[in-house]
Amino acid sequence: MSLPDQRFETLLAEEGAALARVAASYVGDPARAEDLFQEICLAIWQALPRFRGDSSLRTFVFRIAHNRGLAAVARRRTGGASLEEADTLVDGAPTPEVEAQGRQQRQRLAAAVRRLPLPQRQVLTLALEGLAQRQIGEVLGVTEGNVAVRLTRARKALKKLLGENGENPR
Amino acid sequence: MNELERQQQGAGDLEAGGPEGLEPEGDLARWQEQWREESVPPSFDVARLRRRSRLRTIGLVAYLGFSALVGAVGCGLLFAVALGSGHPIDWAVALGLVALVVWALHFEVRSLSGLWRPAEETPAAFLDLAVERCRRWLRVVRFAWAFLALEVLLLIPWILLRLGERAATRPLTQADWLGAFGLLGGLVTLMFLALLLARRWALRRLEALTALRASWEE
Repeated sequence: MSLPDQRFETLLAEEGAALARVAASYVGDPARAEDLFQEICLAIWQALPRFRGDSSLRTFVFRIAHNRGLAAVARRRTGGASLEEADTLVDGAPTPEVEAQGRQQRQRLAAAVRRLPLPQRQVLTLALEGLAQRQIGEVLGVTEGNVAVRLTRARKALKKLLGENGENPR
Repeated sequence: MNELERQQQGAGDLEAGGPEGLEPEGDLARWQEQWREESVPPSFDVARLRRRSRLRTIGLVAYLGFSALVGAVGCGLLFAVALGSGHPIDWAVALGLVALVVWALHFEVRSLSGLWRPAEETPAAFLDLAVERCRRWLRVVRFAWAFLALEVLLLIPWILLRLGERAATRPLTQADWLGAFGLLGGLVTLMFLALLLARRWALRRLEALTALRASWEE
C-alpha cells in the first residue's frame, strides 16, 4: 500500500466514526448516509495530497465532510424536496421497533439534530464531536462569536425538540 | 488522536469546564456522550475509492471525447457534401456551421473555466461557487438557444435553395420535403427539449442553492 493510502487509512481509523456521524446528521436514511460517507471519503482521499498543514487535519476533514453534506442537501432540494425535507433528507422518527432496541436515546438525539436548521446543526454536530469554538469557526469559516450565537440557539432548539425544557417535543 | 483518546479528552474537558467556552455542563455533556455512542465507522475500501475516482475521470474524458467526435463527424459530413457538389453555397454553409461550432466551443470553455476550487473551502465559499457554476451553466444554456436559432437560420435557406435546384429538373415529391426538413426538424426538436430540461434543472438548482446560502447565513 502506498504512503498516501496508509495516511488516509490511519486518518479514517481515527476520524471515520465522526465522519459517519456527520454524514448521518445530513441524511437520515442509513443507506443514503452510507453513500454520503463514501462520497466524503472519496473527497478526502482526493484532497489529502493538498493538505499542507495550514490548519489542523481535523479542521480540514470536517470542512470537506460538511461541504459534501451541503452538496447532498442541494441535490435533494434540486430534486424537488421541500426546504425542510431536503435539509433533513427525512427519515421520520425512529420506528417503534428501533425504539425498542435500546438505542432510542441516541436515535432520538440524532433525529432531533437532523431537524435543526443547517447553520445550527453544523455548529452543534462539531461541538458534539468535541471541537472547540475556535476550531468550529475554522471549519465553517465564521467567527467565534458567530459560533457561540449559533450554538446557544442550537442548544435551545434541541432542548425544545427533545422536550427537555418542560414543553412538549415538536 | 484516536476516538477513545478524544472521548477521554472530551470527558476531561467537560470536567474542567469544557473546551474554549463551551458550557458542557448538563445537556451538552449528556448529548456528547449519546452522540458518540455509535463509534464504529462504516467500512471503506481504498481500492474501491480509487476505482470510483478513476471511473469519474473516465466518464469526463468520454464525454469530452464524444462531444469532440460528434463535432468532428458533423463538420466532416458538411465538408464531404461541399466537396461532392463543389457548389459555392455548400462551401459557405459548411464554413458557416464550422465557425458556429468553434464559436460555441470557445464560449463553453470560457464560461465553464475557472470554476474549480478545492473541496476544503469554507462552506460559504463552497456554496458561492456552486451558485456561480449554476449561473454560468444557465448562460451556456441561453447561448445554446441562440446557437440553435442561428443554425436553423443558416440551414433553412440552404435547404430551400437546394430544393429549388432540384425542382428545376423534376417536380418535388413529399419524400423530398420530408427528407430535407425531417432530419432538421427532429434534431431541432430534440435539442430544444434537452435545453428546456437543462434550463429547468439549472433554475431549480439555482433556487435551491440560493435558499441554502441564505439559510446558511442565518
